[in-house]
Amino acid sequence: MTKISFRIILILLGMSIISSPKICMGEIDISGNLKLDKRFLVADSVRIADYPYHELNLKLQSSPSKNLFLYAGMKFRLWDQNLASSSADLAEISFNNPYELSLWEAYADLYGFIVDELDLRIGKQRIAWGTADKLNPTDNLNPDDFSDPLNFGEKIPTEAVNAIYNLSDEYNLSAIWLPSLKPILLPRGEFPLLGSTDALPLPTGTNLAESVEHLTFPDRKPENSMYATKLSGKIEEYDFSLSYFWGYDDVPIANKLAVTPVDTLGNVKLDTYLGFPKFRAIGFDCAGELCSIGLWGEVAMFLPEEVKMEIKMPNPADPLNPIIQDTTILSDEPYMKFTLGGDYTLKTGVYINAQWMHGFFAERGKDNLEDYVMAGIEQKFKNDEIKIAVSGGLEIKDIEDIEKNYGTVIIPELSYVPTDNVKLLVGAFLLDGKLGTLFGEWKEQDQLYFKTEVNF
Amino acid sequence: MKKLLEIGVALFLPLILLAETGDKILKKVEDAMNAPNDRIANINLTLIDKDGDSKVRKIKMWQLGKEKRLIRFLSPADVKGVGFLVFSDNEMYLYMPAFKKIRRIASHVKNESFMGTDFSYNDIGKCQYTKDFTAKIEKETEKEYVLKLTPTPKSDIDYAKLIMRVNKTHYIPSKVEYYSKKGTVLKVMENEDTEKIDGYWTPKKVTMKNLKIQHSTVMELGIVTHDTGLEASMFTKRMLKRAK
Repeated sequence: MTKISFRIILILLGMSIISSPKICMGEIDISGNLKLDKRFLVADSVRIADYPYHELNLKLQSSPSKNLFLYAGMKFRLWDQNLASSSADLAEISFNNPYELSLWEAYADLYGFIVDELDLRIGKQRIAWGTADKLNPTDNLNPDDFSDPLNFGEKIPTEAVNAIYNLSDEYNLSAIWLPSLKPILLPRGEFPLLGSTDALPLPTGTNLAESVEHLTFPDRKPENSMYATKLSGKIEEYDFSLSYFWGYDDVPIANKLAVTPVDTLGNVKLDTYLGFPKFRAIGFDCAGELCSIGLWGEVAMFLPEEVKMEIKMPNPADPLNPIIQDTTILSDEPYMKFTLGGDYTLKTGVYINAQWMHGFFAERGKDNLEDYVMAGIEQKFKNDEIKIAVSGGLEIKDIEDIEKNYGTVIIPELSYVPTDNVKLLVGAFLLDGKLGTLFGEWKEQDQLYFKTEVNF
Repeated sequence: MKKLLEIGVALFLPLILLAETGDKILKKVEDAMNAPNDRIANINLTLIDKDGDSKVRKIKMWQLGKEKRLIRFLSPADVKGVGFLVFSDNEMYLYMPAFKKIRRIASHVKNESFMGTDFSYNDIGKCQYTKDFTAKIEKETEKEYVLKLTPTPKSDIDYAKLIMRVNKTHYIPSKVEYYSKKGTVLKVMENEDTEKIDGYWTPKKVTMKNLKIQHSTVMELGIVTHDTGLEASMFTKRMLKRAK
C-alpha cells in the first residue's frame, strides 16, 4: 500500500473520529467511501496497469428546511503511477503519486419551488436518463467518464438547472438547461479507448516529424447552451419516457488536418484540429414486466449536424498553393442506437440479466454502429455476504462475416462483505477479438483486479 | 314438516353464517394487520447468523393502506439512502443514491431476500394474505386458531403452505411457518410484544428465522405513529428520490 493510501486511511480515521458517534456535525451529514483498486495486466508479461486509481469520496448533505436539500460530493483520485523523469521531479509529490481533487457534485434541491408541483435542482449534478442497465443511449446529458474505461456507463456530473414539474403522481415533465459543454474524461496511460485512428496518407517522400492537436470548445455563450426535456409517465403497468436533447457530443472529432513542411528534407508537421459536433436526440424508453420477467427497452434517434474535415497538404508541384480537400467525416444522416434487455431470478436464487445494445458509447454515425450482446449471471450466498458473478459480452461488427468481425469480454467476479461497510472484490477482465473490433483493440488489457470498498 | 324445516333454517342459519371459517379468520388477520389508514415507523433490523454474530440495519417505513410502502435505509453507511417503493403488487422500485437512478424491480424478486435480511420482498412489501392464499382451520384452542394457508393457483408464492397461529383476541398472528414443496419448514416468523399503539394492535418485535441456513432477522419497531394523514403522493417516484 502506498504512503498516500496510508494517508487516506488516516484522513478516514480522522473523519470517523470527528463524525462519531452519529456521522453528523450539526445539521450537516457527512458520509463517503474509500475505493482501492489494484490491477495487473496479464496479456503478455504481468505488470501493473497505469490508469486505475484509488478514490476517496466525501459527501456532505444537509436539509436546512423541509423544501431545501443541499448536497456536495468531493472526489479525491490517486494514481499509482510514477511520472518523474528526472531527479528534480522526485521532489514533487504530484510526480510520485499523481492525484486530483474535484468538487464532483454540488447542487441544491428546491422542492415545491413557486408551486407545489415543481422541483428544482440547481448546480453540478448527474442527470441519469434511461431504463436500461448502464447501457443507456438516451443518457446524453452528462459526459462519459472513461477514466476507468472498463467500468462502463460512468458519467460526470455537470452544471445544470433541472426543473421537474409533476403533472400528477405518475406523470412529470422535465426541462433542463446545461449552460456549457463538458467533454469526455479519458483514461490516463495508454488505454486505446477510442480505437486507432487511420493514419493520414502523407505525400510521397515526406516524414511526419511533429504532430500537434488543437482542441476547440464552443464559445462560452448562451447560444451554445444545451437543452433537454423529458416526459415521464405510465401506460398500464409500463413506465415510459419520451425525451429530447439538443447539444454537443462530448467526444471530439477531427474537423481539420493541416500538413506543413518543416524543412527541405521532407519532414512535415501535422496539425489536427478537433471540435465537438452538435446533435439532437429523440429518445424513448420503457420498463415493465411480462410473466415476472423484468423487461426494458431504450431507443434514441440521433440527428447529427454534418461535420466536414478540411485536409490541407503540401503541393509538390506548386509549394505556394497547398492542396485542400473537403471530406464529410460525420454525415447528417440520422441513426439509431438502442438497448433491449431483461432480467429474471430463478427459483434457485440465480439472477440473470441480458441486454442487446446497438451502438456503443463513443460510436456515432449510421455506418459505425456495432452490436453488443451483454449477459450476466450472479448468485448471492450467506445473506448477500458473498456474491459470485460472471458477465460477458459479444461484440458483432459485421453479422454477415462474423468470424472475422467479433470481439468478446468475460468478467468473472467474486465479492465478499466481511463486515458492514466493507466489500472486497476480486475478478478479471478477459478480452479477445478480431483486429478492428473494440474488444479486439483492448485485448492487451486482459487483467486481474483486486478492489476494496469501505463506506463510512 | 315444511314449518319444521323453516324453524330449523331460522334457528341454524345465523349460526352457520356466524361460524368462523379459515378464510374469514384470514380476512380478520389481514384487517387487523392493515387496520391503520397509515403508519410511520422507525425500525431496527438485526441480522443474526448461526454463530450469533449480528449486523444492524436501520430503516424508516411509511405505509398507506394495504399495499403502498416506502422504505428508506438510514444505516449502515453502505446502504444508507437506498429507497424502496411498493406502489402496487407488481410495481416496485429501488432507488440507489450512488447511481442517482430509480430502478424498476420485476416481480421475479418477490421471493428473494430483501437487502440481505431473512424477509423477502414479498414479506416486506405487503400484507395481503387473502389475495394469495385460501385458509382452513387446522386446530382451535381457547386462545388461538391454527390455520393452514394454501397458495391460490394464481399466486406467485413459492411456499407449499403456511401454518399460521392466530391470537383470538386481536387476530395478529403469533407465529407463521413457511413450508417448502418437500414438506419441510423453511422459515418461521414470530410476532411478539403485540400491544395497542394509537388504538391498533401492533407487534413490536417480528422475528423471521431461516431454518435452512440458521440465520434470522429481528425487526423491532421503534417510534410508531398511525393515522398521520399520509397522502398517496408520498408513495411516488418523486418522493423515492428525495433524500429525506
